[in-house]
Amino acid sequence: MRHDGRLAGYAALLAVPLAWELAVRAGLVSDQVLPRFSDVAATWWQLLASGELAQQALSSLGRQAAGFAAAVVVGVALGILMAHYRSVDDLAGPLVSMVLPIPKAALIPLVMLWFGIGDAAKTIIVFLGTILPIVVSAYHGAAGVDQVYLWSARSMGDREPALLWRVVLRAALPEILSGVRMGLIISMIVLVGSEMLAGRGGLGWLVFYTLDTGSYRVTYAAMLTIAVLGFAYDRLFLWASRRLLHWKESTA
Amino acid sequence: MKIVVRGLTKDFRDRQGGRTVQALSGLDLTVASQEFVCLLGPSGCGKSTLLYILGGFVSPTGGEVLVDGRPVGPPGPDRGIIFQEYALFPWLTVLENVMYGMRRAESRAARRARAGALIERVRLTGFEHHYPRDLSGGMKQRVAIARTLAHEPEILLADEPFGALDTQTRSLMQEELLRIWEADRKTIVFVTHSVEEAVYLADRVVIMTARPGTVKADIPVPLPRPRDYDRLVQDLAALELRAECWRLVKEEVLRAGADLR
Repeated sequence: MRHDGRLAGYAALLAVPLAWELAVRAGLVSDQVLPRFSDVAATWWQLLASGELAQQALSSLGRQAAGFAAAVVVGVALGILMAHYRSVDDLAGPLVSMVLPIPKAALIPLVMLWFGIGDAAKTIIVFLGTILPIVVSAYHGAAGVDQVYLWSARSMGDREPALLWRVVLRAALPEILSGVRMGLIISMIVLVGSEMLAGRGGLGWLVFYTLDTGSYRVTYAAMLTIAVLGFAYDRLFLWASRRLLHWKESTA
Repeated sequence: MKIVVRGLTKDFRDRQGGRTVQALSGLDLTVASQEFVCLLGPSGCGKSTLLYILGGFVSPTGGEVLVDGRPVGPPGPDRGIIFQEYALFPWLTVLENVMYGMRRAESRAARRARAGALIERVRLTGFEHHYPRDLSGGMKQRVAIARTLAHEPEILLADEPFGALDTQTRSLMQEELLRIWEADRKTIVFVTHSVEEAVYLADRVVIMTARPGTVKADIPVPLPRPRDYDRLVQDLAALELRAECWRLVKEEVLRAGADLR
C-alpha cells in the first residue's frame, strides 16, 4: 500500500510540468510570462553545463550552511541550558519568547542595516531566522526528559556538563530534530529572500536579476533549482534523522 | 551500621493548594552492612520518598541520614538504584548501558570484559548488541541490575523494581536477585507493596504507616538461606510471617482509605 502511495505522489509531481507545457502550447497562458517547460528545462541544462548554476547555488548553500550550522549548535545548547538551569531560563526566556513571533522576513532589512549586504549579513539572517524553532524544540525536548534517566545517570557518577551531553541531548534528540527540520525549511526561505533584496550572487539574486532583465527562462530555471535543492535537503535530513534515531524504530 | 536514619521528616508543597503535605514524620531506621531490608507499606506512605532521600535525589526537611557514619551526599556510584521503569537509556545497546557507569580509569578492554561477565551473570549473553526496545520487561530489568552492579555500589536501592512485571517473570526475577545478592552481599533497601515479595527476599521487613510515613513495625525474617520460592510457599514459619505482615499492612491500608473518605 505504502509503495502505491509513493508512486501516486511521484505521478502528481510529473503531472505539473506536463500541465505547464500543455497550457503554454495551447495558448492558455502567454509564453511571455510563462515560458514552456521544455524551454526552461533546456535553459536549466545550459546553465548547469556552463557551471553558472553551480556557482550561484554554491554561493547560496555556503551562506545557508554556515548560518544553519551555527543556529543548530547555538540553538540546541541554549534550549538545553534553558530547560536545565532556572537562571538561564530567567535570563534568556523573555528574550526568546519576544523575538519568536517576529516574522523572519522583518529581520532582513534590520540585519542589512547593521551588517551591510555581504555574505556576513546573509549568514546572520539565516542564523537568526532558523535559531528560534531549534531553541524551542530543544527546550521542550530537554524539559521533558524522564527524571529516572537523570537520576540513573547521576547515581552512576554523571555531573553537569557530562549529564547534559550524555543524557539530556540524546533523550531530547527526537524533539530537537523536529525543530531542526523546521529550521532547515525556514533557512531556505530567508536566504532566498535576503538574496533577492540586496547584493550579488546566489540563486535568489539570479531569480530577481533575471526577472528585471526579462530573461524569464533563467528565472524559472533558478526557481526550479531552489525547489530541487529544498527537496534534496529535506530528503537528506530524513535520511540523517533515521540514522540518528535508529534506536527508536522497532525491528518488528 | 551502614545506614542510620534518625527523626527523618519530609514535607512537600502541594502544587495546587499550596498547603504543605507531610510525607515522612520522625522516621527512624537502621540498616546493617550486607543486610537485605524491604520497606513495605500502603501506596503513598512515603516509602519511595525515603528511598530517594537515601539516594540523595530528594533532600529531607528535617532529621538525619547517615551512610557509613557520614551525612548522605548527592547521588553517586556508592549507591546504585533500580527503578520500576527500568530507566535503561534507549539510545544505547545492552552492552553500552552496562558500561555506562564504569570508571574511565579502567581500560576499555577491562571494562568490556567486566561488562561481558555481568551480562552473563544476569543471563543475557548474546543480547549485548540489542537495544532496549527489543527486550521484554524482565530482560530490561536484568540489564538495569547489571548496569547498577557495574559501578560496584555498596548499597543497592530498589524502587518496586519488579512491580511492572507479570507474576511468573516477577518470581523468576526475585530468584535471580537473591542469587546475585547471595554471591556478593550488598546492602539492599528494597521498596515493595507485595507482602510475599518482602518475606521471600528480606532479612527484615520494615512496615510503614500510612501518610505521614513512619515505621510501624520492624519484623525480622529468620528464614534460612538460600531460600527456595517453591518450598517457602509451604513453609509454616513463612506463612505465619506473611499473615503477620499482611495484618499490619492492612491496618494502614484501611487507615489511608479512611482518610480519603
